[in-house]
Amino acid sequence: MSMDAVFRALADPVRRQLLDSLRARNGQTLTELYENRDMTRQAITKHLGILEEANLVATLRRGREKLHYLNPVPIHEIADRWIGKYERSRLLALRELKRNLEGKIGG
Amino acid sequence: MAETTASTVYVIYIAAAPDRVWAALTSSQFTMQYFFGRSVESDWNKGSSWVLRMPDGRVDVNGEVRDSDPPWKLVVTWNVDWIEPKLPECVVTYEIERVGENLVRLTMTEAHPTPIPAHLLEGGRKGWPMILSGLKSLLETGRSLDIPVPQLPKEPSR
Repeated sequence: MSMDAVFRALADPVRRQLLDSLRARNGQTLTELYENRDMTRQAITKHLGILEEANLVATLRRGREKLHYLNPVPIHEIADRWIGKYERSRLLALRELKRNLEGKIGG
Repeated sequence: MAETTASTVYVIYIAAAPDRVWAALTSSQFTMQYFFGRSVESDWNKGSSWVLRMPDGRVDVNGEVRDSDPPWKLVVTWNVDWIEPKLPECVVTYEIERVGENLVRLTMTEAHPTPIPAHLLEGGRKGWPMILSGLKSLLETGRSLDIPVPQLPKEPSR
């Protein structure tokens, strides 16, 4: 899997929102992902295809339905490339600090 | 086995032969290098029991081999008894597909017959990508990642 495909897939706000939606509720169907979104079904299908190609979304078949799952493995590989073993805990501490000061997770 | 919808699906591509990936999942020689120092015990036949041991020898996870088709598919139940309250049993499936000359796609799914509270799923969300990346790195480069030994999970807050 090329890292280029992962970055390209993540460069689009709609695709990031789709990943957010799967993080909140994993295993959604196309119809569920399409609901409440101001886009055509075709556009959503195209975005999901790009995410699947980048291995950021994994799919399972359940009867006629296709279920979509967030696959964080490629993002983990990106993090591993630039975040060292001992930095991880310091970064987590910084994120906690930010979260406590701002009262929410930064976007 | 009752049909259960997976709660988690992870996919990783590994440049290795299917039997190497199978060996990496089922032998301690490999698991100790990428699975937080843990070893595995089983004959990996359908119906047999299996155990995942912590580095100090305590049982971390135990379960049953539900399905075994080396080197393509392994289905095991997953019970963690040392955390109180006990976690509900889950079913972990590994599927290995050949997608190229020396490339396989490893799909790991986790299904929970009974729904699990989100805060308990969080641990796996952090752990599995690390374990699978470590497995890939070990098979492709012969070296394990620098994975720090994680802290034991805290008592789930209620």
